[in-house]
Amino acid sequence: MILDRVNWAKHFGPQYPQRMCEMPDWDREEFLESVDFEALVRFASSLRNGMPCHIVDEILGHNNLVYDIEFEDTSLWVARIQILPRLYGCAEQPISETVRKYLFESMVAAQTFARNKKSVFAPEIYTSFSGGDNPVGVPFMLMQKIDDLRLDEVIGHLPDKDLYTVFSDLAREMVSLASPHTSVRLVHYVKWEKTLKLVQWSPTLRCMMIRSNWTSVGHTIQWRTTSSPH
Amino acid sequence: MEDYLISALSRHAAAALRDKNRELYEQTARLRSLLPHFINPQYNSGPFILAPFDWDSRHIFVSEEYTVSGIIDWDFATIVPVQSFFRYPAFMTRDWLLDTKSPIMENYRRIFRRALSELQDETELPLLELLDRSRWFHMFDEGVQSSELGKSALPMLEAYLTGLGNKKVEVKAIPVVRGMPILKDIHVGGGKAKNEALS
Repeated sequence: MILDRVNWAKHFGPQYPQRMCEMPDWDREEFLESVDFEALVRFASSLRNGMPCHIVDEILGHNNLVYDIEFEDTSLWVARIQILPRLYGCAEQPISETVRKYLFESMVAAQTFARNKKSVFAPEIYTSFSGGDNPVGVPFMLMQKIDDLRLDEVIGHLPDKDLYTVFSDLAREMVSLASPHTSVRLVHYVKWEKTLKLVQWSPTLRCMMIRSNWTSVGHTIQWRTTSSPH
Repeated sequence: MEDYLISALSRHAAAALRDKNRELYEQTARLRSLLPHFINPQYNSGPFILAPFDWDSRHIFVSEEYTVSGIIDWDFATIVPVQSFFRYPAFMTRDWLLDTKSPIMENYRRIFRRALSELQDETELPLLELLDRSRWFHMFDEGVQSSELGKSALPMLEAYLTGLGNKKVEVKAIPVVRGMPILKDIHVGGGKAKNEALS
């Protein structure tokens, strides 16, 4: 499921693309009590044949708490936990659980899709849970750590030569994302008047076809791999 | 693409009729009338491309040699039309938000434009043509999606077209979608619209 703008408009309405509203109050301690960090560490460890690991850093983002997990061999993973009490913050109009789940799954699908494209450097996702029915108790994902410089922190000091290097790579990522030589086929369903209808399937796969007069109550775009990624 | 934008406009128009909101109906009708100036019908049925939310520089990681090593935060990544896809990353266009020009941003854009042009051999899509028009397409697109953004975008879009053709933009009296009322006497700059459905 990848988010598209028909759904975006449905969920976020006239506030597209950003919602301007008050951040809801949230109690950090209370939320952290709902997270089983020991289970998180155990879970990460189990994905690497029991190699011991521990949490070494916490970063508080807008919508997520991000934890660096270091393994015994010094490799790093990232655990990303949605801050449920203030997610996509809007005190007067909190998002529903259905929408939250949809956005989470959409993010995972988008990141995975992007990663399968040649020269797009989306971090690898090792595991993800869109709901709280897992040992950690809250939705979370484990992914590859990008242990490098953040562009916004260095861009001010870069001479044109280095800017060209960065922008050249960015341009290449764009062209790759737009590449028609993809390993993926899109299947486009519209749940229309509560029945699931196949609207458009594109074997050449450059596009999803868009219909006018949407009255969809929800629709998903699914994709499946048909050959090895480029 | 065209259908899709019109369907978004029709939502606003329907809401305007329901709420007897003449201002919103007029804004929607005027945007509808501008549509042919911004849409390239060639892209009506695609390609549509997965794009990160805004290519924010906080979400881009670079190595010591300044090659890109990662793009994080795929929250709100969406499938967008190609006319919207090839655009300057948001961190290169902050001056546009204020309708000014910053030499730093201009330098970023100049370098990015050159870097993109070097990749023309790798795709059939006309990269620079798309890039050069993306500012206005993107503004139009967002203005269509959001009635709030449409309010601020409309005068800028009309001023842009006026500047291009060196004459006032003609607002055609066409229904937003078939069956909807036509605003017969909309004037650029916000003339009074007469329509029974809205009076």
